[in-house]
Amino acid sequence: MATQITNYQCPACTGPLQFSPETGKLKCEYCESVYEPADIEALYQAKEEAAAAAAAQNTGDTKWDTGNLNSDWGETAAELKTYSCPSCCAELICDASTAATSCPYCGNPTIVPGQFSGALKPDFIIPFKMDKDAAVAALKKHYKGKFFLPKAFSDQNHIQQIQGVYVPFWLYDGEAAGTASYNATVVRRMKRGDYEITKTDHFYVSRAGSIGFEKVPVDASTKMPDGHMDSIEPFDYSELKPFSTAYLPGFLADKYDQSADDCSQRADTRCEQTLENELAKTVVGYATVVNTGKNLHLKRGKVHYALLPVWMLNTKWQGKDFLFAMNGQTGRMVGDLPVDRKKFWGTLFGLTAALSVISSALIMLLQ
Amino acid sequence: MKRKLSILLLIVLLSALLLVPVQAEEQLSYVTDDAGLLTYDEWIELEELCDAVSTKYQCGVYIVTVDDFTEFGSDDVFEVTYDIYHEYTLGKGEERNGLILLLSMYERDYALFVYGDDAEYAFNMTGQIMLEEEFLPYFGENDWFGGFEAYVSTCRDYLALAALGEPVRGNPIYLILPAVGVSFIIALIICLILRAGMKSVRTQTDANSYVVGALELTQKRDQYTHTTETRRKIESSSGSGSSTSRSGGGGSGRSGKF
Repeated sequence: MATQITNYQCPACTGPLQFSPETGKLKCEYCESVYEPADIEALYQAKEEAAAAAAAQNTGDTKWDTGNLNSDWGETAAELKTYSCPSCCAELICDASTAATSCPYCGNPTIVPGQFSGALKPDFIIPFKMDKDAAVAALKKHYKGKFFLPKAFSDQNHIQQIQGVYVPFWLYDGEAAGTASYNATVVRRMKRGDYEITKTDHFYVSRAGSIGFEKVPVDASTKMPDGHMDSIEPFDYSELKPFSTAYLPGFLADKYDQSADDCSQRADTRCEQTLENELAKTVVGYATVVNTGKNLHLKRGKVHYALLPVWMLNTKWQGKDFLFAMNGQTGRMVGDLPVDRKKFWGTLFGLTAALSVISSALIMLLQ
Repeated sequence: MKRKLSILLLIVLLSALLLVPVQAEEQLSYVTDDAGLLTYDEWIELEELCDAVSTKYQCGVYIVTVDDFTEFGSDDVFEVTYDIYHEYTLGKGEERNGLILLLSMYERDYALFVYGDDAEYAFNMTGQIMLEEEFLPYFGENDWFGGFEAYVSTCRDYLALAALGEPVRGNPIYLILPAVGVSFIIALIICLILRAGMKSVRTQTDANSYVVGALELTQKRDQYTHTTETRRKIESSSGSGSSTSRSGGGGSGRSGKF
């Protein structure tokens, strides 16, 4: 059963509105009218409320017994949702966690407002500042200066998919406190007669302290690789805005599929590690310092739900997928690149040969 | 007082060598034993040996022993040896080819200085190391005459080889093999650094970017517990000694402990 979905239409010509990262406004692709997101949001508020109510009604529908259906779908059926495109009435089938997408038939950007209602509504959003062209340019720059990158990879490489995604993140506030103990030494050397005397003073060192954290991010989507999401940090939180669906048109948006509790362990570990590092930094003036124990605990504070902008770029080379991610706000690009094995070994042995010849020539000269 | 007299004697001996070079050979002044390590007979024998070698190959072979080289106004034994060679215009021929071995007994220091193109041809860096290996074991066992005799006779052998156009040179394979090994390690490090640049995805392990304020330290305790002590005997009389190569200012050489 299709549920109601919304796309922002131009009040002037009913054409689809897209959020422009450059201007921070909504723009009509047809008549080029430009609108403030807040104005459009107000215009559509009533419509969204109605759609949210419809989505709430559909919540029960997800529990329909699909066991009798074609067994080929299996459990996947329960994870899919169908929507009607408000522009062309096409049936859209997408993931249950998809909250904004574009219609594959008419290309209209569409939003599923029910996905962001009630407890699912994000607290904050950082709008995209980098557009698609910036992402492509950043990827080309990412290739530059990589000596072992296969030439064919950069020459024949065609980005198969490039998509701006609002990735759901949990932002954790809190404080880490605790104690750490160390064995430390001070070494003195002196000469007495024919002997060198080494005196080692041993110390028991302990430190206790606390440190506060604000908005430690952990991505809340299983679809997003954690390494990529960690690597594009940090985001500039000064540009956090109260959530509005007006920023979504033109981009994919996922809702979280991992709860704040599920993700908290990653935030906890990072906060504890920072406290441990900071305490260790205060143990100075010793020749050696060995950590012998720690007792760290966390005072967990508020958790915020935010959508943060990420450009995801996919490419395939020699049958292997390569995924790149760019921070849609700061432009930081990450993604592992393939290594040309022949080039690696060739360089290793070539360099060895060259250095050997030079060093041997020097040896012969000095002989 | 005795030390001052010794210095005076050394200066007089070296001055005689400088001022009367023609007579120097007759006065047997190649060996200056200010530290008193040799008997008169040993001294005479070494003088004759040095004279014969120096005259035959036109390359002065000198021996100087002192109680403490620091009394010559420097804390660098090689610098003192260099100064003695030049201040007393040692060496043979216009280029003043020659080499001098100085022993300082107070802290068992030695220095070997080679000067002149012909001398450096006969005693290049490898030659100096090989020469050193001949006499240092004797000095390690306090066999002064044995060490000096080995020094002079080895000088004679090396100068003879140089005169034939076949100066002593080390087997390059023993130096080239380690050089290839070191080259491979350097190349591997460079390649691994370049390869590491291909990876940019890393899981964050800390939350340093999200710290509010700074660490609030509530306890800071550094308690002394105990002291341990280890002793290591300083090896000052080893046969091979410790040495370093020296060059610059004209000439080259080595210095160290014996």
